[in-house]
Amino acid sequence: MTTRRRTTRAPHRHSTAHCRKILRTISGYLDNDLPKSMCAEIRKHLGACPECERVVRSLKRTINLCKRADVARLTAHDKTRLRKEILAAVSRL
Amino acid sequence: MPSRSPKQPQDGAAADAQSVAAFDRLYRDHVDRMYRFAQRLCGSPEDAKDLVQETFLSAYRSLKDFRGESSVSTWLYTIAAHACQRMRRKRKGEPERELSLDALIPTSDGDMPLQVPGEDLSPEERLQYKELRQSLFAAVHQLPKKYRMVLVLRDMEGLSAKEVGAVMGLTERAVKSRLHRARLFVRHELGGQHATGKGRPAMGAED
Repeated sequence: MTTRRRTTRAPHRHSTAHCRKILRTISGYLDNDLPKSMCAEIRKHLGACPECERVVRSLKRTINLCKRADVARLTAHDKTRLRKEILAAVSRL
Repeated sequence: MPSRSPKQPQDGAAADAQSVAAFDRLYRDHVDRMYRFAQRLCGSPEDAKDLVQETFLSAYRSLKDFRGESSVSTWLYTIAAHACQRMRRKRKGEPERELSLDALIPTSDGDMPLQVPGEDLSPEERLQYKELRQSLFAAVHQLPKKYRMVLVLRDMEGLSAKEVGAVMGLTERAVKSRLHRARLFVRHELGGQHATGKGRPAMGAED
């Protein structure tokens, strides 16, 4: 059985104050809205913290999903009907 | 005393014809965009049609006062946002909740993997996409309206934070704060539904 050598540096633990600080600003990072120095700090942290990296990746995917989420179009019939109703309402004013 | 304008129409019938022609141009050019926005905001097609009707009715009334200080679409989004507030007040819905950022930031023991597919969808993932999109709209609809409006305008309609601020009468900073909370909330709702079934994050005071 092998014994593991103790490392001098403690491994990174997610959920530290630093993780919370990073995750508070992460929308700004994804929107390219932060100063370069902050972006560099965030990139460095994400490289060392797989859990924050996972949160950021999933947040980015959520945003992309929002951007791609299309909805049904108004039919030509509904367009005509709505226009007629609006003009009828205007004439009653 | 009102100032005289050379563009002022001679009689009521001519003015009506001009107004209807201007309205028709506005309606034809923007009704699709406004209906898309209304559907994303309201969730149901019928409520969306009501909102579109309210929006264009208000736009018709104030068309002659539009001075082009913003783009036509930003002006219409602003009218729609106000119409939406009016309709909500009429329905006397539940009071607006605040989203606590601290409650939304995931921790190691409270986080869940999120199975939102990326850009490179396999055929199987494509089949699941429709269901995922429905879950997305359900999550967006769970958002308190002031957060939902920001998310829909920014991430779905593609307005800049500055434009969203102009539509909602907010500073850019306030827009970004609400947007971040809204995104974290939706992410949590999607992850909870698709991965662990966990509930909604706790609500708290806006900090």
